[in-house]
Amino acid sequence: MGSMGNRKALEMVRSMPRVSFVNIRDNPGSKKQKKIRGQGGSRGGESGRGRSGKSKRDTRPPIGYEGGTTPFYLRIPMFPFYKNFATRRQYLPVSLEKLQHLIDMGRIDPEEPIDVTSFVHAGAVRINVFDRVYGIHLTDEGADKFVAPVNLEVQWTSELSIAAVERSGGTISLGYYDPQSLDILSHPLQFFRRGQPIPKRLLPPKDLVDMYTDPSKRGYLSDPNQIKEDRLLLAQKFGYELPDLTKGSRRALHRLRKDPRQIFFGLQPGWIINLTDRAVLKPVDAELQEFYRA
Amino acid sequence: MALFARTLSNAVSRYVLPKYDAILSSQLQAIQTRSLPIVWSSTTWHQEFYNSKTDLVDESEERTKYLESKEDFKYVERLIPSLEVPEPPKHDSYPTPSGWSPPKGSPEGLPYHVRRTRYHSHPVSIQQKHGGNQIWTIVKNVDGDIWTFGNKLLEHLEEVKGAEVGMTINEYAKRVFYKGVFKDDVIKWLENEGF
Repeated sequence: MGSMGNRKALEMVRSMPRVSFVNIRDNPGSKKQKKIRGQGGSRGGESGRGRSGKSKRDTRPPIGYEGGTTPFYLRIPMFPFYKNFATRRQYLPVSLEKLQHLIDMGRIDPEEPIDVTSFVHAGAVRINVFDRVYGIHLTDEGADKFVAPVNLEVQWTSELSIAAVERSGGTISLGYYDPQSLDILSHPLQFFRRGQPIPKRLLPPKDLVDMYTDPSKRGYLSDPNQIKEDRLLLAQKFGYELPDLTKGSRRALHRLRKDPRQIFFGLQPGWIINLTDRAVLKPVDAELQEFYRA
Repeated sequence: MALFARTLSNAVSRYVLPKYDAILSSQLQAIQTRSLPIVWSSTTWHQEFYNSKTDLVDESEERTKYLESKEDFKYVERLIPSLEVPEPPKHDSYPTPSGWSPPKGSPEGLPYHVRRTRYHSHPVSIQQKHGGNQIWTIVKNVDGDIWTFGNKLLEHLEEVKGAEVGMTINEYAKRVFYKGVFKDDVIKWLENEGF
């Protein structure tokens, strides 16, 4: 493109005669000679395969063969680097810097609770549950610049991110969504168009129970009193003053939490959404109600 | 209970509860018999709802009752995404905590102008090719005299680098390419110019 050598080349070309088929040719090595059998001049006869031997008769040993000694690729013992790789859970990263930017630009509303839907609608992530994505990972890049007081729900985070959010006067919690629920949460309009009842959100599997019941990680299944204690400890650890969430206009916002079986705020499992009539249909049958409340 | 459990097992396949089938078939009938204004793009129902062979609805069975609530629809409205990029709200001071500021406005008589992107950010990006061996800083949306703009910014970047910087201008696409990583420097320069 525009480097020093090319500039000089362009200057040279300006002083040269017009380019035509008479004075151009292919670069050396761009056109490879084909093998020709029989009398094909210089490329005929043996067709570039040489005299008798394994190279002529296509009986060479496989790649990596070392003349009989154990080849390198068989000497090294196998290690399962990629075992179960396809089944591992993915959490798509969103940094605190990105979240602050989205709030500044008005693409995420800090006056409403922020969850996976907010990030997807703001264009920060694209969730496809068939890629084994289990939610959002809030990374701590931009923790110094983060100042927005938010009610946040993600699926993975670090201690520093929790501290950054709580220092700004917000709350953060970790909530588990099984793949079906996460798909519904990330693409709510497409789900409502199906006319299916909102399903119950499943509880986390065994290997994730420890994380979601841990108050130091702000798991949604942990004891709120222990979370309160942990907020104080974290403030002491990182050296900031913990804002009082019981006072102020945002009091109600910070108290909002979803039920473990609930996917959307304000909408319960078992309800059907009627988009054309702009109504919500709720079952009256006792058995159904009992099932969806379980 | 086993019947209800099957409902949850598979979101994609049709659910088996005959009572919920009844609600939907009545809904479908209602939609088919009247013409409705289309609020969102046409409602697409799952393919299997139209399949009469697997229809498990027993017409003689009593249909389950349900309550209709228009007040709770406000929770649904919150979940409908906006199709337009919102205008950034007014802040008390700039730059915002994340480092964004709106265009100050360039002085009159400047022969070029660099428009912001539809997301209100500067049109500067990094392009990497050949596994990172070739890195270019690209400035898009350059209206007006692109050569003056390109050369002026090139002067500044050569000062920053302390050596020659390669530049390519694509007049038709209104883009300028600089060889190297200069994203932050270019953004600062553009903000100083008032873009």
